[in-house]
Amino acid sequence: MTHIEPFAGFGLGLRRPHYPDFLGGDVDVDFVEVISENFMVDGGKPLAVLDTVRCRHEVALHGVSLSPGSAHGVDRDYLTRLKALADRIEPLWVSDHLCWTRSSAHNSHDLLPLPYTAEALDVICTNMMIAQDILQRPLLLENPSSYLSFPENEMTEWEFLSEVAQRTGCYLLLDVNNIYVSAHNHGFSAHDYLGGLPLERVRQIHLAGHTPGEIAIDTHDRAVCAGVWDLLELALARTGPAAVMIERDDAIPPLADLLAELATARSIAAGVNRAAAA
Amino acid sequence: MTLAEQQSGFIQGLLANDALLPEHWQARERAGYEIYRNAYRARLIDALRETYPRTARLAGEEAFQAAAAHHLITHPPASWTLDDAGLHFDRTLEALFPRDLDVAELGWIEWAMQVAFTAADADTLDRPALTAATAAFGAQAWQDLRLAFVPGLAVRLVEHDCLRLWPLLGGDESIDAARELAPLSEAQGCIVWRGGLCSTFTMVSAPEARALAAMQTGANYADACELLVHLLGEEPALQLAGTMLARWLDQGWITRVSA
Repeated sequence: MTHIEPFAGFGLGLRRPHYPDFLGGDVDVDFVEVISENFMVDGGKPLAVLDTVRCRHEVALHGVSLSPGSAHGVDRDYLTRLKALADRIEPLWVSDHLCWTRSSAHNSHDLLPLPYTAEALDVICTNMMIAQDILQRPLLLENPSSYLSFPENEMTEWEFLSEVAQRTGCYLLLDVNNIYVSAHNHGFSAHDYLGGLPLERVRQIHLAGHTPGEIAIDTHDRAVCAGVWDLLELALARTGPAAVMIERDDAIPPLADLLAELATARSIAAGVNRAAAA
Repeated sequence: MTLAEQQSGFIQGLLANDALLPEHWQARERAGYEIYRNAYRARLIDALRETYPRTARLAGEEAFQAAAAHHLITHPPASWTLDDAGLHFDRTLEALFPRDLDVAELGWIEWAMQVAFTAADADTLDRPALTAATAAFGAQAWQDLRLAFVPGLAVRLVEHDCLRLWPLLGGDESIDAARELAPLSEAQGCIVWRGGLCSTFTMVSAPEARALAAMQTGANYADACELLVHLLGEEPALQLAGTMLARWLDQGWITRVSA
């Protein structure tokens, strides 16, 4: 299993409304992230677009269907297709979520929550090892937003995630918006969460907007809020160099708006670097 | 309870409103679970609406939502890709709208176009390439001629003029004209494929569509001609046999010939 070098860049998710921008010229990003499943196809426009974008930018593959927490095991056909895409694109890395999406018969197409138990830990570590073996590369695992915390939990999410990283050698994709949302929903401290993770294993950071409420929802349909920017600053001071990006999946604004948000992320990172150098 | 049992129960609860949730769950867990349940339905219905935009307009929003919800109950998604959620939705539409078969026919076209959109890339054969490939063919080789078609090419018979129907459902204007479109006097063939990077479709006569479907599933040129003679009689069949091959080449449907 190879090591993943840090990549300290700033990027955006590649979304359909922005295809003309990315195909037409230089967009001021250091990398783009694509949803792996959208390009795990046999041919046609999606792969043609991705091949063109790849000629100009580094690409990170971000999946939603690996289902590493599934008690019914990994889908080897899925992994074979994912490996073919990774071999074609030569991405910075391949990531997915600390979650499960399917049972033996059905797929929810949602990032469902795991109980943080010893049994679930064994399951996800086994699945991650198989997945990394088939993909022949370490994965990045992202902390999810969740709306349900199981009474059966035997450890915190950050303890669980840390143990997965330690046992499997995977890296972390730190979603600071997800920490913010889940901290609100489950009443834990976002600072405790950050403090409990092996942050030296973080290679990428996600930023996004969410819908506030009694239960906050990770909607990716609005700008990043002030509390999440504060968390980013805190995280960057501890992670070392990492790739930072903004996710927007709904109510997608013009590219210029997202680039302006990304400029905020660059500014925060520059401030952290200055403080570290002082 | 094992993790596998817990996860199976969790998914069953997403699929059915009346599924029992764990007794020890309090209001907070139940409220959180409802978010997953609502998101499951909304996401999948949105996925169907994205795959079937014109079908949704023709059926009407309320009827389409009900059909989509019914389809998700009878065909819960099993594939890793959300794109497959609409698999066989045209059959669901045919069962739910038996007196409005244009809805199911349009659904079939939209599904076939989605499949063709990401089908494998392939080089197509043009007329000079066919001439070169068959230059040494004798009469028997022509009879044994078999064709390979572009991945994603789909054929079926339809009872409505889908070429007229399609643009009537593309904009924001009234769809009254689409709803009032009378069925064809006799069925025609509808062919879906991808030309370059875009999916498209056209209509051909029913005999030509049947000949194409036969050759797509392995029939040779002699079998296809025999089918045409059976359907049309000898003289019209011979005329069509020549022109259809030229059309298939010009449309970019053929990738390879063999004998």
